[in-house]
Amino acid sequence: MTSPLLAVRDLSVTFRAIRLVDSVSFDIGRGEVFGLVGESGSGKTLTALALMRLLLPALHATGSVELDGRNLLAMSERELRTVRGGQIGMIFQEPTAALNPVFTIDAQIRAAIRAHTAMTDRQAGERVIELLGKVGIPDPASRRKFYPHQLSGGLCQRVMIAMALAGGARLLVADEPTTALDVTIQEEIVGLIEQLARDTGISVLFISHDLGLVARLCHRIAVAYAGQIVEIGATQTLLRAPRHPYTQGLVRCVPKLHEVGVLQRGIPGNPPAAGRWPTGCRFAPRCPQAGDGCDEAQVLRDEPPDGAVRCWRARA
Amino acid sequence: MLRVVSRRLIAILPTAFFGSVLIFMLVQIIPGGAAETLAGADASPELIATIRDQLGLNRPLHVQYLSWLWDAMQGDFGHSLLDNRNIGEGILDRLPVTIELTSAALVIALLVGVPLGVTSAVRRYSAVDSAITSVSGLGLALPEFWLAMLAVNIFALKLAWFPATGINALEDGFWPHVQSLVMPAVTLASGAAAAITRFTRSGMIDALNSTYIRTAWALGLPARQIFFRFALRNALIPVVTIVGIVAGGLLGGAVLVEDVFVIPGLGAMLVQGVLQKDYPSVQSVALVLTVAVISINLAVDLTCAVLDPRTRG
Repeated sequence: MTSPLLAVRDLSVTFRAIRLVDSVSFDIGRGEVFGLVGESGSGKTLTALALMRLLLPALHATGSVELDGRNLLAMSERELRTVRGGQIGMIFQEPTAALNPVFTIDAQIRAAIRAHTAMTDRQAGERVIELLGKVGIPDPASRRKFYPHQLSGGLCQRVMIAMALAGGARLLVADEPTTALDVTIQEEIVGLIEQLARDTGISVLFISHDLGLVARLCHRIAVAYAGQIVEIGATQTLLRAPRHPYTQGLVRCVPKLHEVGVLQRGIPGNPPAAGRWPTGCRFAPRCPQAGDGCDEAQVLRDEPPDGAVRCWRARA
Repeated sequence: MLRVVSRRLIAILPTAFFGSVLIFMLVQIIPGGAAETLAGADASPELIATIRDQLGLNRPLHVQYLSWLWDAMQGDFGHSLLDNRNIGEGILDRLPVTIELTSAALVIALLVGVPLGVTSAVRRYSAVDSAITSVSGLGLALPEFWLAMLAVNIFALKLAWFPATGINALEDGFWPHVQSLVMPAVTLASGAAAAITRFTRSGMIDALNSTYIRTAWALGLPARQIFFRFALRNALIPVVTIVGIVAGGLLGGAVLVEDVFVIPGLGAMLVQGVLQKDYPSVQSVALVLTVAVISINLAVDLTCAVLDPRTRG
């Protein structure tokens, strides 16, 4: 395997003494679509914000996030500015709130282009139309004069994607990009990301609580629980033979066509509140297989060929 | 945009109507009517009745109101009860000074308030922010007339930097004119500047905490552009709205400041009118001030429509 585009090592996010994200490590290869799945509170959004260095000042990130060997966490603001938008583009959960309400989408995409390339006004204008066309906005030449409130949520998310790509990003971080959208629109956005990854070779970090969605899109998946990654694996392997009991529970929750009408079994109980995590395995209180040996803190152990799992039972 | 303008203009009509009715009724409500004032302290009831008749005060209220409004709309405000001077001419004489004083105060308030508010927000929770917030708190709390007296004491009487009273006519030179305007305008501006600082700060902080500004950071835009272009335009929307309210306050404040600095403006005319029960003068000045406030708020609404595409509809 060639060197990964993004290498996250022991990334932790702390608020006061509370570790909200605990030693998260994963790689994203060039052209790879990587999924990060977890419930709300599992630390997946914080992980995304931390690798863009967009955390609120009260939150503190440690570890390393290397993009092509350069550690983003150690960069100066100046260098960071070339990475944000220039190397990594990011889209968010609420596309209508993520766009500036008082500027046209043309002005906003233009600003993103201008920040990373030297283009004349005219070239930038053409590039805006080209980008909007690429993300499937009909009639981009006139739509670019619109304000965000004149566009639907789905179109706003397409505009966000165009903006995230405007500076020539090689990695797209998508934080729950479809959660606020209708199911049909959700399909379209996922389809668009899939197509962009295929056509342009851009890498994607796709964050969602929806394992079914992530499984359709991603090559590999990391499952987060209570601030830790509990399992990483290729999508097919993870779906067919989940090793961690939490992943097994998630996989059971994904509706399957031949089970229409069957009541889905959820995972009983709720995830522990941040900072109130059990000292041993954090999933143990909800785990159907919990027993002796689960009061020990669990380590993420590599599972050949390219997976890893945080459960001592899974070794067998 | 044209639709916004026409809609606002239509919306003004009821405001203007109720405003004029209230101003008209003022005189009807207050004890000791116009005829009694004119007739003097120990006039006979017959004399008062005659004067009432002459002034048309025996006509039905709505007739009185309509003829008063009709005349006023044509610039005929009647005559003062005290010296029989034409009120319309008096207002025309005094209006420029008051307009100049309040506009100068508004410009000062904006030039001071917006930069301070932005600085405060960009460096929020820093020592600079606390200093600005405390000073603006003082500005909000201290009444203008008190600041005016303090300023006269220090800068006019002790230091003699500015004249203590009056406004030097523009014909006597530009600088003397400006010099005499500084103290009244600055003291009048103090409260407005403080309010604008506070509103700019909170508007700017809201903008900086918004998702769309997080997007701007995530795109690697220059910090200067994020603060002064993408955040500021959003932050200014509530500030423009507050300017409408503040401008009304400035006109009210001008009444007192003109009094302290002995400036022959509308405020002074209003105070005199009230003290001497010169009802036609009071009514007329109040009507002019009301129209001024309504016009300012129209301008504010239109500025908001320019700044915020969502309100253009």
